[in-house]
Amino acid sequence: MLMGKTVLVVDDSPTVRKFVSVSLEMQGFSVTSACDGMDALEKLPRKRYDLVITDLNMPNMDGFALIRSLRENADFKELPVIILTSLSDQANKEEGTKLGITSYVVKPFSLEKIQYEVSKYISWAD
Amino acid sequence: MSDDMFRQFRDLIYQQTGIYFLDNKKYLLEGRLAKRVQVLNLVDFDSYYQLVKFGTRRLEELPHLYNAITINETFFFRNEPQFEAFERTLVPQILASRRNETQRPLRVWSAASSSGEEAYTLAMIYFERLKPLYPWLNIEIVGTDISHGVLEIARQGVYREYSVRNMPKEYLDKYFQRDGVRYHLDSRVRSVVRFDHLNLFDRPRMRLMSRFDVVFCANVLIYFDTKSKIQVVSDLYDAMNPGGFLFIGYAESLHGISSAFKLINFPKTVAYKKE
Amino acid sequence: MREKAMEEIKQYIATLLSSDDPASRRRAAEELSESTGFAPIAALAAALRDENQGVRDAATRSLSSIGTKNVARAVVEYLADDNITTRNLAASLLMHLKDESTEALLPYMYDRDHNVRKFVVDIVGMNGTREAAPHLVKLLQDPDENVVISTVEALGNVGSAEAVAALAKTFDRHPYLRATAAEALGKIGGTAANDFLLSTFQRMVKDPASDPLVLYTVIEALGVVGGKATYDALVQSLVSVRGKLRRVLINALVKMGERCGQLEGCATLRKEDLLDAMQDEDVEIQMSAAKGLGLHQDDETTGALLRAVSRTEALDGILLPLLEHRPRVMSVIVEELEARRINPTKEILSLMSRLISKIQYPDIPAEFTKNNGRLLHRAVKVVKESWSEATAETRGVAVDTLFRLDGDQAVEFLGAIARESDPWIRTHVIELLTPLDDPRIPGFIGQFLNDEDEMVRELAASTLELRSARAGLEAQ
Repeated sequence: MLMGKTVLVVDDSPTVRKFVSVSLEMQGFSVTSACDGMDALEKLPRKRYDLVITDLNMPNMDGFALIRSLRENADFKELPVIILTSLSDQANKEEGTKLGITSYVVKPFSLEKIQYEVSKYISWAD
Repeated sequence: MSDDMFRQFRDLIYQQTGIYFLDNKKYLLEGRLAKRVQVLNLVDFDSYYQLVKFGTRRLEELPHLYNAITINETFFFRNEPQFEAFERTLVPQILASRRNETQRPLRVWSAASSSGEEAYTLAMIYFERLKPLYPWLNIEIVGTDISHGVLEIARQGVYREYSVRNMPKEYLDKYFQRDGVRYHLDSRVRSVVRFDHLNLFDRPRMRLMSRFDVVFCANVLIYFDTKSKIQVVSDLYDAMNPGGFLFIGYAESLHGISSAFKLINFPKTVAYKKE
Repeated sequence: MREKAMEEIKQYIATLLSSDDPASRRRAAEELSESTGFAPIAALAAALRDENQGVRDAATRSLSSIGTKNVARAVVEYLADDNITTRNLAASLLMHLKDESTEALLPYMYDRDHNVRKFVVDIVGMNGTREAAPHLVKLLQDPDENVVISTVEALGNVGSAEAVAALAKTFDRHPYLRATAAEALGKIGGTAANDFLLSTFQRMVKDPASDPLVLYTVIEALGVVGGKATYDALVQSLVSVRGKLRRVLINALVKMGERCGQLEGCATLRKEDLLDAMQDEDVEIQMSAAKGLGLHQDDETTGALLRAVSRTEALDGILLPLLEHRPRVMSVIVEELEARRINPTKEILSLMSRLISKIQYPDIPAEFTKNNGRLLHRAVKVVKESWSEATAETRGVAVDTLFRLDGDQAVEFLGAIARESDPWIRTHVIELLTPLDDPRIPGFIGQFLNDEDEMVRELAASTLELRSARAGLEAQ
């Protein structure tokens, strides 16, 4: 099948999950979806992921709690994380920077924007 | 067994134990109950149903019913990533958070312990890995199960090749005495483990379980439906100490079941922490 | 009696709001799960902000369980809380409450804060709240683009036909909106939506600068709503799209064909396109490709279908029934197994069992009688070869298959395995044979009644008892 990089997209909206997945699959990435932070943490050990894209507002475990959990774990400390959210205020952006995220992308997003942001950190095959 | 009969048994078992048989497991239930019908010299499943639902000797028969339907497939060192996380990270963390309380034993619960392999594995890890580092540390391991039959086997501490097939050789040599095809577990190991009968779905009894530092509940939640899982996991949470950890099975999830725990990732496994 | 209950409730509220011990607060929150009065509900809602996760969990469960409009009223203001955890707890509760939360939510669709408006629109959309439709249509004019996009998404989830015209108008207003609008139109359905999507597709497919994500969603939406006329218009465009888009188009065409009861029309779809679509990661596309391939009866296609078995349960649900009815399928299976292009998984072995079981004398298919039944020999050989690598579950199926192919050879094969020195292997063999019906089995198991190992003897005896008990019960 695909021998490229794998991305985990975390968002409670099925539409957003689908759009991000399709945009990245068209570039040759392999994409898995999770519907919130807890679902993401349960899926993470089962495959090797190269990048995580996450929303902030989600039930069961929000985006910041997810990132904090990732940073506390030696296996995921260096995992690139892109926040993809409609929350555009400065406070959230600063919180993201503090937590060591790679990029903060404000919705709405387009196909090109997502592909561009992801490709800054990983290309489809090394 | 007719579909109607299957449904009746399914509901009865669910009410008593929270265990739910899906439609495609009808053949499994049929096979297991057929033996009881035969042993009791009954003529058909209907008579057996009458017996366990309304009969005067139903309380005697119910434990045999539970024995028959629970699936006892386990062996030593079955879930290595969990045992590694336990030994390398969880125990040191728990002990560090109560530095001065050296008298306090570490309490571990193997829920659905079956024939005892998981509980005894933990005991061996204690002797082999923990005691050398923390000589003052005592451990109390409790194994519980709904089936009396397997509890008896667990208490004997005698096993066959099948159960020990995944065990590192140094453990096998050090903690077992071989006797033909049987392996007898040392009394030292057996002494730190206690086995009790417990139905995870029995709330009053579950409320009596308390102050556990680590709970292992692998491969049993899969038999419950969502509503039962929520109840059982809530009771497991209440039975734990703050700072304690819960392990469930590899492919299992608490998503939609409980939001009370903090999820901690380990290599190849996940633990749920009560803060 | 009532006073006592009231007293208890007041006690629990007090404990919940002021005890130092989180375990007590959690217990108190659980105990309030059946109280419908406003005071307990307000206390539970306040506990959503408790610092202890266990307490928040119990409060959430109790509020869910109470599930009334009062809960929604008490919780809705927390949507604007400073703390992100609290906001999200409130949102999931309001979603869980479904219709009961509508009344409390609607005013917040006009909140000053655009983040709150978006949040509420998302909840209302996930709940599929029909009463919200007129408000949602108004919000298509919201100044914030995220609110508008969420509104478009929500209109799709709510399914309001009144919105089709308005959605078609917003389509071109903003590039970001198009994909979401296309998806929403597909979900709403109907002739107007279909016509709009079709004309949009025809326009976009001619423009090389078209956004592929938007084209993707338009094609997918047409797959959901389109009929025969759309099919005919679309099938001509297959050559104009490539890669993922072509696969999505194949998926849409097959779905349309099925929906019109004219799946056979899809026989004109090219085999190469269908084979390519089967490689896609999306299981839905794989399933459509399989259905399309099912219309081609040649061996090459049979091989391709077999190679896709055992990937996912959903796809197997389509493939296995298709394969069972294809010509020469057993021959192709054996060839693929011998060439190691497929693995002897439990699904493949079960398929072989079913194929054999279906044979009824005197209508024996030609492939089995050719060359003195050589096919059966080869089949037995590959099944035997699968043994050492197989899991216990697969072996169970393999034994069943062997007995159906050739009972005598099966007995001989198992006999050889059973002569191994390890008693666990002997018990393993006995367990595998337990559920099977072949008349040779009791005799085979009977030989173990004199086994040197006690465990094997016991298992053999109890298995024979179980089989006769079962046989006795079935005879009734």
